[in-house]
Amino acid sequence: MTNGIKPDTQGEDEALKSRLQTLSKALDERRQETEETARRADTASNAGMGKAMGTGFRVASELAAAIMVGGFMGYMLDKWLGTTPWFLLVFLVLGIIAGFWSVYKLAVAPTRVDTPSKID
Amino acid sequence: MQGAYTVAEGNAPVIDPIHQFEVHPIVKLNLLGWDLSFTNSALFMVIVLAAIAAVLLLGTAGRSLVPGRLQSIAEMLYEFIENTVISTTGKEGRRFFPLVFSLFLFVLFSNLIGLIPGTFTVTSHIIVTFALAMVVITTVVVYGFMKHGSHFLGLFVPSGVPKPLLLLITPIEVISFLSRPISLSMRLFANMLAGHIALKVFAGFILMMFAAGGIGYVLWPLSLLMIVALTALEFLVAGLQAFVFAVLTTIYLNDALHPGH
Repeated sequence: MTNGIKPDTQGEDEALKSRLQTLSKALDERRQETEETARRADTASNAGMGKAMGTGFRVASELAAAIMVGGFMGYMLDKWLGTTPWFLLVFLVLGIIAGFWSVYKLAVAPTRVDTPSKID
Repeated sequence: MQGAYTVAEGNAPVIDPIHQFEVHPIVKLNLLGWDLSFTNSALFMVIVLAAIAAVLLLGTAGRSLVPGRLQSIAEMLYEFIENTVISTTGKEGRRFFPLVFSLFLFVLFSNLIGLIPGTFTVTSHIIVTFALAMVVITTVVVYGFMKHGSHFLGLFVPSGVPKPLLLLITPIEVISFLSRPISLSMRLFANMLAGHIALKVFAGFILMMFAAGGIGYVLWPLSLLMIVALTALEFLVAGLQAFVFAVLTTIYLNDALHPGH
């Protein structure tokens, strides 16, 4: 400690020293903790790749399925009521909206973090 | 993947990548006009069930404090699905754990066993995956009406939406709901079908290159390399699709438990 702080008494010096020790110990612990979380995040990013692929498959199939269902419903209604092509057009548009709506809902859903948030 | 390389009159082999998906009867059985033959598809379903039973029964037989390999696998599968179910649906969702666990294991083992050359992939047929999806959706609808009555229909009427907009939103929500079994079954089926066809096509390239001779003798390792890479990818996809199927099942079941968003 040469940066200008002059302890008045011997006792104060001792107290400062012990405080420095506890502080550096805490710092070390903190550093270890962050390293650990970084390592955990690294392994999590590997799993994140699989999760991202899963989400990708979901987006693609949900978009396609909604459009198919909408189109099929419109087609059958037209066949039934003889109103070709109006119901097909309306339900195809509804299906496309439904597809994008489900993709939107998928995207805005809060992403779940699997690592427990013990460190505040 | 069942091979079918027939050599036509010329020298060029004809490769049929679709042949592996053919269903053919092993034991013919006709009951009152219904075709109930025991097919190769049924055979592999039995094999899948036997494999699941073997892993789980042998895995839980030891019950050692420090689990061996098989016990680790059984415990990991169990805990993985339990975590997924509990974290998505909460404590009440526990009653659906057997359903989700069975579906997950069936899809996972079908996908993985299908990757062994010469086997049949049960999940590469849309009728199989559609049947699995309908089990899920039927459970959701039946349980939803049983528990919440007509309140279950609130699923299609989101709260806090102005009346005029509901005229537009409700049909969209209905289509969105009806598309669930389609997307659930199509995703699994399409992934398995596409992956197996891709593998077979690249395997066919090797034969074609040898038949063509010349530069084909130099280029064939590229195709082989591609098969190796694709096989690795297919293992990832096999696990991933089973996982996605299980996760979506719990998400849909969550709607039956808590329909009011």
